[in-house]
Amino acid sequence: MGRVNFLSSLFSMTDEQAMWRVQTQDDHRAFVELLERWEEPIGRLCARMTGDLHRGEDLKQETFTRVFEKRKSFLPNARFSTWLWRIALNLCHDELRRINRRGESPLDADENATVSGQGDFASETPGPDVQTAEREEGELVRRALLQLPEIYRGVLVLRHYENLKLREIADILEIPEGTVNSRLAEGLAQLTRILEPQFDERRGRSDPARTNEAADGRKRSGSLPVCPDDSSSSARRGLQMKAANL
Amino acid sequence: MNHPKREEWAPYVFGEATPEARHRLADHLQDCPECAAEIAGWRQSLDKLDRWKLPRMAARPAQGPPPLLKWGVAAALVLGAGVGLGRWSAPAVDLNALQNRIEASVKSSLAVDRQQRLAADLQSALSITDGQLTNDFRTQLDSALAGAVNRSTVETQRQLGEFIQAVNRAREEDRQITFSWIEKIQKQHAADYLSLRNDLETVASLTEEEIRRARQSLNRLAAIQSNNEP
Repeated sequence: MGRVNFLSSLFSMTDEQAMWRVQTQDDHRAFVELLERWEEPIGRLCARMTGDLHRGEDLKQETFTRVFEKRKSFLPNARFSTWLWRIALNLCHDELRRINRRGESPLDADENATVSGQGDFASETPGPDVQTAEREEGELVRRALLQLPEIYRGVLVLRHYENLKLREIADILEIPEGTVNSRLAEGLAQLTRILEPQFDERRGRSDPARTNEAADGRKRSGSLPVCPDDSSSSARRGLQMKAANL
Repeated sequence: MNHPKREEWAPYVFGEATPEARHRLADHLQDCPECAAEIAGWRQSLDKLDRWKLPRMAARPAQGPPPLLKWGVAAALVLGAGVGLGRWSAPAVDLNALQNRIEASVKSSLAVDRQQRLAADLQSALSITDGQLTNDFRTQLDSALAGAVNRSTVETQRQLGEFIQAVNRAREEDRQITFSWIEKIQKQHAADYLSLRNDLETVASLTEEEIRRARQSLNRLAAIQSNNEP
């Protein structure tokens, strides 16, 4: 009976209650509970921020290690999720800085580490052609996001993929909500400048009737200053190579 | 045309604008093809973001043991530590008590064993000689059997009684020792108290004597002084 009560209380406790147990009693069960609740969102965030699944997995583990190490500094009136997202984002920033210093480009990460549209979505995909096309588009998006400055990528990932409210993002980043809004606007504008011509080109290739339209789109986007021409052409080269392999 | 500020569009696109802002911005989009094109482009980009799908995170890379095993190992370690601690912190065994307990249980089991063997022997003897034995003899045997059973019961009871007596004796002894100790301590206290009192009395009488003498010499001094004055 006592055991059942204990289990049900464990299931119904809030993140903050669980964190309190971790903080005051080093309660491993409460920590595992938090881990199970949050490991997937945190893993996704880290993978999207670094554009690399393996790195994302490592960063996720590092995040939870950090949470346990810093458990005493969690403030009792703070929100656990805000604290957790902040720790994970900071670790991502550190990792990206290390990558930049080493001169590596996450754009060229091992293809297995960047797979998209595989695994659990297999059942939804009607055929190998469509599957390949979706994977290629996913790869374009991954690269486009990595080309964005980190501050824009961070807010976009939190808002779009993790569905956090603007207020929450402001709390995590410890910036005014207006700054979150302007970062999102700028991020979306830059993303559109990168993605629009690439997707237009793909469609133009697969649908000859629309080639002229796509060319117009390219011309239009060519006049915009922010589009990094070399990187979009390298993405295109990557696609062409993939097409050749098929 | 006055375009809204760029950051105003973010809450609008993500569905978090206030109703007032939503109406104002929607109205603006109807009249401004430039902004309409830009916002349409943003919305398309958001759709495109969904093309980048991640495999489910739960499918972990095959590194290290599976979590269940990890927790199992952890549980085993904790359990082992607990058992070790328990054994280490267990109270020391009272050898005498253990010996007594074992003796008593061996004795009682021996008595039962003896009873059973006797009964079995008699039963077999009975079955062999059944035909030849008279009723008389049988009743004699029965009474002998009953007597044996009684005797052994009495024996067990006697042993039990002895055991209880021994325990009581030991307890009594303990009590006496404790009493004698208490008595001794009390006597010691009384003696200490007496000698202390004697000492105090001596000091008091000595002090009194001393004061008396001092008073006398003072008187004498006063007398001498009064003699010298005239």
